[in-house]
Amino acid sequence: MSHQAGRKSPGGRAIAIVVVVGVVSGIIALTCGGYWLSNFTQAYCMTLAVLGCALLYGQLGLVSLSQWALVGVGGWVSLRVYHYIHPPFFVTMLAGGVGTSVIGTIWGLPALRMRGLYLALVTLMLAGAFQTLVTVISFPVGGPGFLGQVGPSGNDRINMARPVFASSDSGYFLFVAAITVLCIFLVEAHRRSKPGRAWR
Amino acid sequence: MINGIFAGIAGILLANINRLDAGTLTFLVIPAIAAAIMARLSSLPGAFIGGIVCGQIEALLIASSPEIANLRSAGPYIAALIFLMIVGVGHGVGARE
Repeated sequence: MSHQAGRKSPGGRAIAIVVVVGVVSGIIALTCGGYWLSNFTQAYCMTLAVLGCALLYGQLGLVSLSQWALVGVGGWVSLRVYHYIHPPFFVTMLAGGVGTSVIGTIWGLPALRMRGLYLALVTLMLAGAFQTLVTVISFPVGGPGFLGQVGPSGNDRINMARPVFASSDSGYFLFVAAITVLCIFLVEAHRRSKPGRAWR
Repeated sequence: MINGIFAGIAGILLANINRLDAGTLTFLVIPAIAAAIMARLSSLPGAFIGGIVCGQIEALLIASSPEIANLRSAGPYIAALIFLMIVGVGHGVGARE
């Protein structure tokens, strides 16, 4: 019955998501120190990664075991773009998303021919291949060349700057919470759209 | 239990030629899956041949240039993927209806 009620009022559901995440995140931002803020920020980031898995499994029944590797792909592309042209944070973030979508599309080609256990194993193997690749090339840290590596001491490495308006730990946590809510809405919007309904 | 016996025997034999550490052993499962996939998850002789093929691919990559040798662990996955894309899953486990 509650499920039916949720279907009838998507606006109410959206407001509930915003209120719950907003209140919980506000309490965390006001009461927690750096260590716990870092933990909760990572938890929201993982929530974002899991959203993709949940969408795939919930709508299509596809089990993808390479989601964490795709997170790494996004990180690599974002860092590469950031160290090349130092764009604003949002542009860097979108570049990571677009780059990962291209890689993910190529990555997903095996899904056209298989599903179930085969697909799970293939995506696990792809994640293993990415692990091997990233162990060799590592993430760009501001050095010269395409791979952007610095010397073995690592003293010259440059970290990616946070957005100006979210430079503090609590500010960055709230920023990540807002992006998480935005992505939940994107997933919901996709589920309700014509292509999303066709997936069921 | 049978699975555990085989895994234990493999571990004992492997310990004699390879150092035992958790990371190496965990990642060892992925080339093993590649070999099993080459056998379409349904043939023991096929898995045996797939395992030998995967091992030889890695050995050949080690003998190539240093840059490629560093990526040798990815060889079995790539080989299994190419195998699946060319041969397909047939009527094996997980084949699309």
